[in-house]
Amino acid sequence: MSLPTSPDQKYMRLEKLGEGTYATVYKGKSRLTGEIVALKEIHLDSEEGAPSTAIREISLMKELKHQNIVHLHDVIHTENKLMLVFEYMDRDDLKRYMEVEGRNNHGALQPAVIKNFMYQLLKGIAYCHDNRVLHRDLKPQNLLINKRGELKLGDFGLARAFGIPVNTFSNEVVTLWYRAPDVLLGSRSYSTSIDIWSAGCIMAEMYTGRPLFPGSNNEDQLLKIFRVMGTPNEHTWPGVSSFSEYKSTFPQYAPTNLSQFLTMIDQMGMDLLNRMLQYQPHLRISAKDALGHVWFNECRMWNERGQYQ
Amino acid sequence: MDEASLFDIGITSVQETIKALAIFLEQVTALNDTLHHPQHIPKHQPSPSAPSHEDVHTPKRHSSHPSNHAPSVAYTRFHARSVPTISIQAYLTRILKYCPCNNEVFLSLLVYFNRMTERNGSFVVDSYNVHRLIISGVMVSAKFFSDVFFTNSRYAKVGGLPVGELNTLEVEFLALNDFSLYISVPELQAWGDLIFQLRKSPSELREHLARDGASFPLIVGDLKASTTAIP
Repeated sequence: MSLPTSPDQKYMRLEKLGEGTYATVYKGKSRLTGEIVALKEIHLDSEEGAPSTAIREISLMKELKHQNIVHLHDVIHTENKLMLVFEYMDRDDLKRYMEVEGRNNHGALQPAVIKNFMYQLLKGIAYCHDNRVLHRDLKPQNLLINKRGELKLGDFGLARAFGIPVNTFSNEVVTLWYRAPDVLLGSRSYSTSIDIWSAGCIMAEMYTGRPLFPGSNNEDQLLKIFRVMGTPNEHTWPGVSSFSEYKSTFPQYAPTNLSQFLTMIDQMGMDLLNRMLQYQPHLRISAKDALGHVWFNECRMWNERGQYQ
Repeated sequence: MDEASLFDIGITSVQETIKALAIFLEQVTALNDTLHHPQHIPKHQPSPSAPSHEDVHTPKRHSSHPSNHAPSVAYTRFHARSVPTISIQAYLTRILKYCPCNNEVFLSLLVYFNRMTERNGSFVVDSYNVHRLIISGVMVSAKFFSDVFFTNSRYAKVGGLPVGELNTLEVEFLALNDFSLYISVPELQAWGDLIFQLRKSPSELREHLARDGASFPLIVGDLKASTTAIP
């Protein structure tokens, strides 16, 4: 446990990296070791107290230690703020990485890079799910990259431990564009498959440089998915009409072939993507099985030889 | 009926859970009171009147002062000057009524109290601090475990203390837990099993605590002395 000393005694604040609704992130430097870190400062509100996002992020990230999850080094608290000290990821997040690296290609990345990132993303997800944690907010902005080409999951503010079967969950989770159709339809009993849908959306986005389903609200989001994957019905998704947000008046679209949007994807990659973007949650491939998919054969080989991040 | 099946974290009603939890905590605090405040054993009289803001905030005055306490007890920000008049059970019931939450939130209190005692040598859960520990614990636990929780000002109102004080206690509670609130489901289930096995017979519970106290950091003190102290 850190003593409630002033953060300034241990870390020097450098430039501001970003500002969120409840936190400000700075680049920082340890006064003791000179190590560069990311400092997430969380203001404690007088009505709300410590934000639940901070409580979850700290508690869960203390449990999750993995090479594909951003490492939480330290927590420092003072009377009116908490400061989380994270490992510094010097290549920004995946969104900005795509903007820079894919600037001559509308933001799209090279197929070999995509495979590498997907392998690391799925390793991080598999580890969370093995430890009974749902991330619930996977999107390019929350995947951090460093100069060694490592990709790590960050921002566990919406994450939640699972395991008690009867618990119902909020359906106000995951940034709209990456939210699974069962959650959009009102499901409150989702599980690990919610993160797999997001991973599928991220994979497609890396191929095109554009979000796969950029909806503007809950219903528009569903329609954007339906236009590509076909409007689900009791035949293609038994039970779909019982969801609270299901409407019998949904416009009827026939399924299209996703590969027509993703010209650079190979057949095996397409097979994996299709398994991640299944309508029925129980049919979505697990992170562990995805890592065993034939598309990742060479990644597993490198991984075993220790040459892979 | 198999004793282990008395409690199921997903099925047992929260009302049942808080009853068992209250019985357990009443015994733990009574035991710790006798160990650490030997001259002054507060009586736990369940308050028949509806709990009000004043019950916790302006507690009944006892003749003795904190200065009379055994020197081994560390006074934390959770300590009241005297024992609040509202019983643990009434306090838990009030929290459940106005800030509803699930079994895991109430059960998690035992895990957190245990960890706090284990990590912080002289920290003891007793009648002076148990109310503040409960309201702070329920609040942080709900924020961690549940997608539904309330503002600190609401918890403060329900718990009967000023929000500014509760905000301070929240950070203190988190710090005493090293900011790690994660608990596995089997660990929660084990605590549920224990308090449900012991709820039927307070004397059995006292014996159990005295006998196996070493595995309950919640009970701090010389257990041989405690066995003789219990009538």
